[in-house]
Amino acid sequence: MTLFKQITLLISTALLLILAAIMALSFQNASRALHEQLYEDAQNTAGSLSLTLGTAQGDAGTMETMINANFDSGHYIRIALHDLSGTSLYERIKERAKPDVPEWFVTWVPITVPTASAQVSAGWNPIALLHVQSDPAHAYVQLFDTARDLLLSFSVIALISLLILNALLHTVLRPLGRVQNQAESILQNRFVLQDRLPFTTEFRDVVRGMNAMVLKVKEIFEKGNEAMARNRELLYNDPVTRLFNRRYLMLKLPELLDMANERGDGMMLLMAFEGAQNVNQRLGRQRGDEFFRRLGTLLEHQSARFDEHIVARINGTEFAIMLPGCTADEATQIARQLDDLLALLKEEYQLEPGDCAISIGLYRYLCGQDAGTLMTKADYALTHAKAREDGNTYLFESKDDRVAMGKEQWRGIIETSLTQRRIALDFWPVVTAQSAAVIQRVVTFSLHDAQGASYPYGAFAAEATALGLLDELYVTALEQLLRRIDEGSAGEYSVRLSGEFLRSNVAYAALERLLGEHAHRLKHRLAFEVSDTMAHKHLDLVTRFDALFEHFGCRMGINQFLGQSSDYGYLQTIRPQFLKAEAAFWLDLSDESLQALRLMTDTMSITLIAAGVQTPQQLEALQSRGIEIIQGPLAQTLADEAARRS
Amino acid sequence: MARLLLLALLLGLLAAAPYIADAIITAIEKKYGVAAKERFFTLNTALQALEAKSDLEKLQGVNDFYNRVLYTSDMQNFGMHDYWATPLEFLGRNRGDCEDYVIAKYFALRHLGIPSDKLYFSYVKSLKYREAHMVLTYFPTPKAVPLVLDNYEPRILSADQRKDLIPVYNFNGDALFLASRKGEQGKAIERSDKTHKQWDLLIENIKRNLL
Repeated sequence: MTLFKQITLLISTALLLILAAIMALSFQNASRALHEQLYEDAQNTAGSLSLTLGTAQGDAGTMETMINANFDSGHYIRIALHDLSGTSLYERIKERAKPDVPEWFVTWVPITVPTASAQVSAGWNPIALLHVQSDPAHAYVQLFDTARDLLLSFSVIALISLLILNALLHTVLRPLGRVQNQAESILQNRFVLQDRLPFTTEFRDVVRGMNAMVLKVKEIFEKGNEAMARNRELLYNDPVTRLFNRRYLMLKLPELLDMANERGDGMMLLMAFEGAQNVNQRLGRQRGDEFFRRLGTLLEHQSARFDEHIVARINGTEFAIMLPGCTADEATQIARQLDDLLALLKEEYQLEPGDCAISIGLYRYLCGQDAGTLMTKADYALTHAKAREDGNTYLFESKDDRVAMGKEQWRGIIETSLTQRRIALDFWPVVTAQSAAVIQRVVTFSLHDAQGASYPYGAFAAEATALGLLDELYVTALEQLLRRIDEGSAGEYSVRLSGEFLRSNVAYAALERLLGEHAHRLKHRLAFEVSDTMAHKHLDLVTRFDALFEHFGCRMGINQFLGQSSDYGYLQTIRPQFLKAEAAFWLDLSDESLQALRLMTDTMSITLIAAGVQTPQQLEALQSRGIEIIQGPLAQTLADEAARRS
Repeated sequence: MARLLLLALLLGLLAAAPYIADAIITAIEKKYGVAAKERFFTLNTALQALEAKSDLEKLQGVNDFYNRVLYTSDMQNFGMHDYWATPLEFLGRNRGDCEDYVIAKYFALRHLGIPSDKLYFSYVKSLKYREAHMVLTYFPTPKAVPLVLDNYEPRILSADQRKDLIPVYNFNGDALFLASRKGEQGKAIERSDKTHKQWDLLIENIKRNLL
């Protein structure tokens, strides 16, 4: 029971009791006054009639007539004349007519009418006693009206009082609602400061306390954030150019090469810079560093139009540029432009043309390759580029042993999948390291052609986007999934949402519709995950979706967490329930960084999950760092074993 | 025997009790002065002397005693039109109007053992003074011609000798109360303590020893 209800109940009861008491007293007073009036009427009549009777000088007939005249006025139920010894001389009694009020009222409020008496004389001698009793019928009507009026006016007063009470209590207790909201927000890891302090002292103290706590949490969060950013810089950035370093590149490659990567295949440009020593000699240490910083900016600039691109300085003289979704032609053009831009830069720094030069190995990589192969192939291209006489670039394309398919073929497969609803849902278990219990299933989808060949998301995403069919595929797959999850099967399903889909026009409305239809029976059984890159680049959009998911009781998580952001404030904004990062990331993270991250995630109750876990050794290392939940090949193995055992 | 003796002693004590108690006389002295105190002592002595006498002697004694008080209208005396003074107020001030004489005489005679149903407050019209007047009437039997105790007339005369008075109405609060009680016995009706406004107020004042 809320405080509001309790107080209302208490005061209302008191108020109604007081009103009822006042009403009862008022009624009693009215009743007493009526009684008195009845008696006084009788007494007046007794007095005046006895005087009149005295003029009859004891004549019985005259006295009877006088009594009749008075009695017939109808105000009395009895007029009696007794002689001094008490013997009745004459008496008139009215048959008690029913008063014009409900029967229950007469029983409930008995009116007893006192008799008034007076002496009657004849000449000098007292001869008789006169007794007069008033008729209470009229008094009943009057009393009934009084009772009704009292009840009515007190009802109105009670109603008005209760309304005023309600309004007053609302005003007084409104801050309590805000206090409660703030407390609930804190429970949900939303750290809101309340600027307006309530007027009531008790509430004010509570709000002050909560504000202080929120500020502390914020401070913790900011410190963690700063520490993370500092460590990330030390760990993943080249100190001179501020570009990423080799370590970062190696961490990021598995994600780019993942079969499920929606950007698909792309280009890697490996650039060797010759003559770094000359540059430093000519320009001096400081300007030399500046020169390389400018070079880094140029590289970053040229790659900007490719989402999820990476520009890294992998050692003193080599730079790597990853351009997902880029074609060989585009990459060749970029390489040529880089050459021209370098020439301009050299001019600006008054360097001789022969002082320095670049060679660029261009390699077209395919999703599904491993990082080692990629680096070897890119090196191979760079070696060839350096060796060329007629230029400084060399393009190397791996032989694509996957069936190359044309646009029309893709259209066929996608449309067939859509019409026949042949979208395959793939489930990847997420397990706890200790018990191998499956706590979540990650859902992705793939397509199959008539021959039974399977195409993962990464293989068709680019094509489907180009054909404008990706959204439809997504919605159909989601619908299939939601229909398939029934109330019987346990566990949570986590749907990976690609940035491509989230940014489309239909995604929000489609998800709203689908969740509206299904979420009510899937409460707390659905989660959605978006990538770290997506979350920090399109925070507003992700926040909107987050609110939608929360509305329908779905959880939300971040995957591919890699600390690309310099600010983890976004974690506070969207408050994900879990954070997934590659096993390599967790293992590579410095103790200090992990501590800082944990500080933030623990405050917000965010679960940390390692993805792509392959070996038991990796798991052991992860556990030693406090990461207990994993997904990836090892998770699948553990889940299968557990299923077999049971 | 011993019981009878005790009873006799008690009766003796009762008989010895004065009409106005000493404590009240002290209070009267404080308010009205030594002369008033003397008047009340005289009253007590006079009534004590009358205790063993006949009704007629009692009537004459009381009538003579109170008729010595000065007549004043209520307006001059109490600043109101019609006020029934208590016997203490009346003798304390040593002045009053006709009702005050009637009241004082009535309670003195009641003290001397004359029953209430023999005494009436009689509202009369005085032909001589052409005004409303009140006298105390004594009925030896209910149907007998009463004796009239009048403040204007030192003699106690029979009513038929008082051609100057026209009877209008007789009243006796105590008798009315008792008679109506008796007359209405056995009837399940509520009876108010109130009978007559002036009478009720007077009884209340007497109970409070108003002076």
